[in-house]
Amino acid sequence: MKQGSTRGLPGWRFAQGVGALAGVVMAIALYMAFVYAPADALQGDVQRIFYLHVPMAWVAFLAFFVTFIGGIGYLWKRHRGWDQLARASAEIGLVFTTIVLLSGSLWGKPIWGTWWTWDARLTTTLLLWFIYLAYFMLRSYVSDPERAARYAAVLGIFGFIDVPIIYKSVDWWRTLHPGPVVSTGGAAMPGSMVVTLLVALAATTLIYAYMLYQRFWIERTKDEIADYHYRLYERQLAREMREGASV
Amino acid sequence: MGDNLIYLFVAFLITWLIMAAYLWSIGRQVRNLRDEVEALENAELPAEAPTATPRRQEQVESSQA
Repeated sequence: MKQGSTRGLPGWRFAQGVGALAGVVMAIALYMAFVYAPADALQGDVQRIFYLHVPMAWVAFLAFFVTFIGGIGYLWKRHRGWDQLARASAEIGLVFTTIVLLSGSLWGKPIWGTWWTWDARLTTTLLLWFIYLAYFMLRSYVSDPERAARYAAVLGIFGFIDVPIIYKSVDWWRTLHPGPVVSTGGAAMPGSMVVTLLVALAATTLIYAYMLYQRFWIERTKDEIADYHYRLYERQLAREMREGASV
Repeated sequence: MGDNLIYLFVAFLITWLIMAAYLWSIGRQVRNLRDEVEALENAELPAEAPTATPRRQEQVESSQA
């Protein structure tokens, strides 16, 4: 088949543009993270993991927020598009949360002297990862698509409650994890580090937008194909019944 | 701090390996689904085939016009 025959789809060209822009902005972010931003006075170069870890965490939270909105939309409107959006975003959120846990662990080893500690923020983030793993397990165990979508919507809505808990965990509990570096009171780091972080945030958000479009298209098309096969099956069944009745 | 550079390197390496693998997986799924949709367009019930390719969308739009 012809390569790229989906180019005429609504928004496909725009999505390709977003993907290309994400690549360019990510290249700039990498340059800034390794060259432009200064090394941290206490942690040294390993602090540069921060420009990877924080944007990934931000996008994971954004992805689960979209799943939360998709869940509410599905329970309210019962339109399958909301469910397709929710499951597309949940998968991306799970991938990004995996990266957050791994990159955090790789930063923790040289700074804290351990790969893992049952710190409030780390534990609640691991809990988030398990919640969204359960989201997909639940979907695969329930055979009726409508029921699977309904149950997953409820889990996606309640699972999102963990996100503000993660965010506030450094305030609510005594924790090893650093607190917010940028808040309403200003930034707790030099301007060049803040700018680098913002560029990395933009790049990661663009990658998320590109992935979400593609994943949404996959979910929508899978549902259309399943519907088509179901209609085909119904027609064949009706034809066989008519033929049986005429005999 | 020089010894710690290995953690920085591994963190970026793992991240980009995961991202590349995931993007490749998405791309493969898109290609497979496109193939499947095009095969269905030429199958028994073309009027009800999925509308996920441009050719199919044009067919639906022209039939609705």
